Amino acid sequence: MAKQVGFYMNMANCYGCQTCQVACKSEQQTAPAVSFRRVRQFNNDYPVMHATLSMGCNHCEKPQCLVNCPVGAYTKLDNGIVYQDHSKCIGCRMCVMACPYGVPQYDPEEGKTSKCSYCKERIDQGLQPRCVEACPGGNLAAGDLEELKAKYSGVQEFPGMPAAAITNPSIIINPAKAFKK
Amino acid sequence: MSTWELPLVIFTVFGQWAIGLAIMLTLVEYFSPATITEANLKQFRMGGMAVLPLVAVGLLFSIFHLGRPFAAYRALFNLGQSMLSLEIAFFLVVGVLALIYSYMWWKTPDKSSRKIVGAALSIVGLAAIVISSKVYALPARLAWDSLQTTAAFILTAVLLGAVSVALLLGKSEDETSLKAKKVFGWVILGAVIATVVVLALFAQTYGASAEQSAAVAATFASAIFVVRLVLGILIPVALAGLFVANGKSSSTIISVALFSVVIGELSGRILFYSSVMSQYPWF
Repeated sequence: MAKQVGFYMNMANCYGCQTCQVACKSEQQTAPAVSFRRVRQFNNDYPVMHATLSMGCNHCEKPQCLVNCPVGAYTKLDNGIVYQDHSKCIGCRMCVMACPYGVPQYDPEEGKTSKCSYCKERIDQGLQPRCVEACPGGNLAAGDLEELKAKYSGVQEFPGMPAAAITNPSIIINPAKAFKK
Repeated sequence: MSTWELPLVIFTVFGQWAIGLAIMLTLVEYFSPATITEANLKQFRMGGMAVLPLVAVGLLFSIFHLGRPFAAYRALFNLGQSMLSLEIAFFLVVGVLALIYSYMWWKTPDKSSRKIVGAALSIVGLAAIVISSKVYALPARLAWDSLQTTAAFILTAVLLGAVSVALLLGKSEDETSLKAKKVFGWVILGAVIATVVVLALFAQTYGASAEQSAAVAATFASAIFVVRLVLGILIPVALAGLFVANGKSSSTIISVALFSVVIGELSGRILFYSSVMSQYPWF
């Protein structure tokens, strides 16, 4: 079986500080309109609920961005990273429309779309993705998906999330308490 | 307004209009050649010549959709996998065939050999429309990923093509022309009824998911839908009624009807894009 990297997200313990988001932005030097990692908020009045989920690219097994890109800017690397060759992008936003998770983001200033690369350059140096390293709560983990599955239990989707069957995202989420019921 | 995706709206509607017009002209040439008389040849010639500029406007606007318009040629680089690449390839072929077709109407309007080019343009054009609809067959976007998209795109071509040829027939009142007008009246009526069915099927998907419900609500609650309903559905029904009843109507009435249907179709396409794109980021 081909190697596949992935993310573990401990949503149950995440308190939404957004350090991962800031660290990612700092590392990748993204444009003001672009944030490769976003902390999604789930708020509800009844029953009262506030939960946060930090998500970058899920480096899916069946990436919709890759399938639909007309210039072939996306490739799936040997380690499972869905990588975008940014120089090829023509800004058609097909990947933006196709991704269930809203991961690829369009920068109107540049006229191109970009997305999380799992900090490929850092991985090549034996380092962790910057978001994982930065999380003060230790709520993010990265590594081989099978190893992550052996270490953590969780789900690929919970109510309100896109159906995992579409792309089979390489993620394990320990959902917030409200989503465990 | 940024979620209207106007370049895509104009590209798809004008491209489909051009193909619909070519299909209807070709059908007339094959099945009722007597409809084209010396008296109305000038009008039909104008119609045949209009196919190229319509495709050209569509293709031009498709480029404006890109963040990097000068790199548009690269959209052909992933033909084996991406539907968008295939769509552009097919529309380029449509463009070449439209160039030949319109040129033949311009230079040799008396020669019937152009109907072979018209048939080729109709077949490739129809395939291009189907492929165009498949670009939006994205499993994550339920509002687009449906046969309703294919049906809606084809119906745009049929409706705009039929009303356009009705305009070309406007002044003709010989027996063959009146008969052809009646047929086009039924075609317009059929296309409008089918459009209403497609809209009803779309409305029925309310509740399938939060995103889908929001898309349905954004469509039917929009003021643009009123424009679509009046100009794109009621006006062509009235025109079809006139044609089916007696075939007599002034060119001014048909011109106004064509203008209305174009605005109606553009409104419908704006709703198609904005009902989904206004929800970004979806998660």
